[in-house]
Amino acid sequence: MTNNLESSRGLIALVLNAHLPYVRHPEYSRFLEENWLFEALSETYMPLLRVFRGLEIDKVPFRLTISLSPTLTSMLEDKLLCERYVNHLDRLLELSDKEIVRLNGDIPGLKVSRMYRELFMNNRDDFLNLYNGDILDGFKHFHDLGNLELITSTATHAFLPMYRESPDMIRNQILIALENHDRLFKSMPEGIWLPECGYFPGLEDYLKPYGIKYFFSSAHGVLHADDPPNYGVYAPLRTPNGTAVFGRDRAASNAIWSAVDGFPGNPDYREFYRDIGFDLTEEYIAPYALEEGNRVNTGFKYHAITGDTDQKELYEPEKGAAQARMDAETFLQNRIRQCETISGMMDRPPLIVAPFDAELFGHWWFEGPQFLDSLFREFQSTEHQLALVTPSEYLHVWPHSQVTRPAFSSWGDKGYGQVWLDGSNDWIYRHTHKMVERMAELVDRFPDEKGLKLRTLNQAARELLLSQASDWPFIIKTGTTVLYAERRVKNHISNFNRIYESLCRNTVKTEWLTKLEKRNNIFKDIDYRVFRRREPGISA
Amino acid sequence: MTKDRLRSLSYNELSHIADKGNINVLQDMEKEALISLIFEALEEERLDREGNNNLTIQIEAKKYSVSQDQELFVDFGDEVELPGRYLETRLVLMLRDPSWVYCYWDIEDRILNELNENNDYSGLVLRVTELAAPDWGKDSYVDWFDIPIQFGDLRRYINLPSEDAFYGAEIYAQLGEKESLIVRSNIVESSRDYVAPILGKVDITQNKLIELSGFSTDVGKFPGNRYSDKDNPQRIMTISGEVEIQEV
Repeated sequence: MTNNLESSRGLIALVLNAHLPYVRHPEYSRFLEENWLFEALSETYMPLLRVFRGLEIDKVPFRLTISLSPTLTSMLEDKLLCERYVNHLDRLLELSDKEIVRLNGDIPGLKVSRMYRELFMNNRDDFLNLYNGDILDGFKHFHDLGNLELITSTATHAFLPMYRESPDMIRNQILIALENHDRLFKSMPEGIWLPECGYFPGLEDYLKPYGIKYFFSSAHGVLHADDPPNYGVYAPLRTPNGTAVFGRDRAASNAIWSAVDGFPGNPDYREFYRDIGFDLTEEYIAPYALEEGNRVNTGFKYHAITGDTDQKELYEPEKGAAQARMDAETFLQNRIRQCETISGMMDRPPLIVAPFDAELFGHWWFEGPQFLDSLFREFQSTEHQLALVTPSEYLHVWPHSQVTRPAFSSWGDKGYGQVWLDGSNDWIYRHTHKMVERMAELVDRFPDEKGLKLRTLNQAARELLLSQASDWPFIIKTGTTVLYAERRVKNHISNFNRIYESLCRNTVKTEWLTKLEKRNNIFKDIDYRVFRRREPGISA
Repeated sequence: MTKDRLRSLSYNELSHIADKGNINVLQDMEKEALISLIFEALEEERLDREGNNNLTIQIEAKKYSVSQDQELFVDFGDEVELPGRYLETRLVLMLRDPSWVYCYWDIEDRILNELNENNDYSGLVLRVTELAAPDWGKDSYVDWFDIPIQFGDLRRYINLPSEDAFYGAEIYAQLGEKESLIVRSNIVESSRDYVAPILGKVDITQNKLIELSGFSTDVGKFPGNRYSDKDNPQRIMTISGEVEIQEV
């Protein structure tokens, strides 16, 4: 492989960031926001694993880097959520049977409803029989084969620039994520996905002591470095401590991100916004798509994007699949041309780094997994002298790069912290910063507890971590499920404060604690002592 | 959000939503007219909100989209009340972007009471100081400006005059001709949002690679020309291999 890399005209590193916030509500029989996980499982993670299996069978040597965030992996190994996912699939299969009856005689409509039925049946079969309810095994399999490079993110996807003044907190977000990854995949990750590509100068000093060799940055994080990068974003930089940073290529990324100019906006692709949860009568849809009087998405979407019109045409799966193949070919051809232009200016093959949210592929862009499948096959079949690569493979062949310090940046709107620190969500940080201090204070006061106090302190650590998820300020700012996000962050703060005050008064209520432990049960083996105050530079 | 869902709500609930969304409702408005008014206002707000975000954020937000009615999940359940303050004396600066910091603070009641009882007390100021180094040594002071604040104020966004500089903040009580320092913040380093100038001989290849990466080194020569993922055109490769200006 390394020989291929050196003689290539160009290299492509595709990166998927798979992440969802920790949402688990055993106190309800069904909970709307748990659908985030179920939809991502059905439309992204399971279809992606099927793509990988197809490539394995056909001996297509693909390379892909996937970050699996600890909140996502914790949900994927949670028994309750796995049971609920199967129930969710059963409801959808029941609905698909009803749809086949409803659409009797409507041949094009029937074709789409049968496609969904097959999708949900395959998901159910794979989930229960192939993976025995643990799809992380599937990812591990391809990691062990060398097709996937699995990396992690921070413990609860905290946007780290907001915790710059809390070095111990940053270390813990990283350390807990690495321990989680090691426990699940029996290996330490070489790289890390900084949530939202949030970087500030000096962050690498928290990564290197844990063996992290690289991270990703937005393009301007690299281009606005202390010294202008010699190769633009087409080669990684080394930060002063040697940790590598890979800059995102905006041309390759935007070809896929953009709903208007990018591939996912093609009229033949499936329309995301038309769902029978909204199109059919309440009476018909109520058992599947009615929560507290509100209609919700079912996943049954029968229309194609068509164009900028409300008169949407019926979706034709074959047309969508054919377009995905064509777009994969176009994407590759564009990268070939891009590399042809750039390679003459460099003394090594240009590297194009294209990171995406994994859930884009399948959930929003329904044909996304087919696009990736076609792209990997196209790579193998076309004479182009381009190679797919993972960051670790690249660093193995080219261990030396220009040394300079990247700039504060994120991949969010306007490029910095504007999404996560805004008039709508800035109230969060007064509380979460205080919690960080109080947690260290608790460890000082209770350095070696057992029994109920130990459980209480461990739960405080969980509430602290959950309050720091970047998802809550993100949702509050972008306005999707604001009430839920506000409620979540307030609950974690309030739970933590109650624990703090209870410990100060030495009056912990066992029943309340037990309920809380059952509900917010992430990081079961957490040890609150990890939050002890450390000397600067001490990593563990 | 759907009109169907709005129709299922009572007039009072609709009025509550209108109130919450600062939507002006005429007296004695018909329910159907009220529904149309709310629908249009919320739709306009949604489009504005989406349009204000870059592609990454627009796509990321799709993950959390489970219903078109999510703006209407009005929850009248038990609201969690958080403390407004932690009754401590503290001042924190958080860098939001190269030009702005968010600043939040709190002052213990004991100090505020003492100030209130002091006849010489005339007000509080938030002093923002540019520093040459990340320390509060006297030699570090480069420049400063004051922002008058009130007892009830707890936060502020502050525009920073210089990029690539250190900043700290302090709160002073003004006591007659004197000032008394109440609290001092952490120090932040502002960032740059342009390509640093190439020192020495300009490398044409390096310039070209930076341009092909979507950026112009010209910006480095004119620091006022800030990065924007949306407003500034970027150079990206087209299928013909030529460089073309495109809107992101």
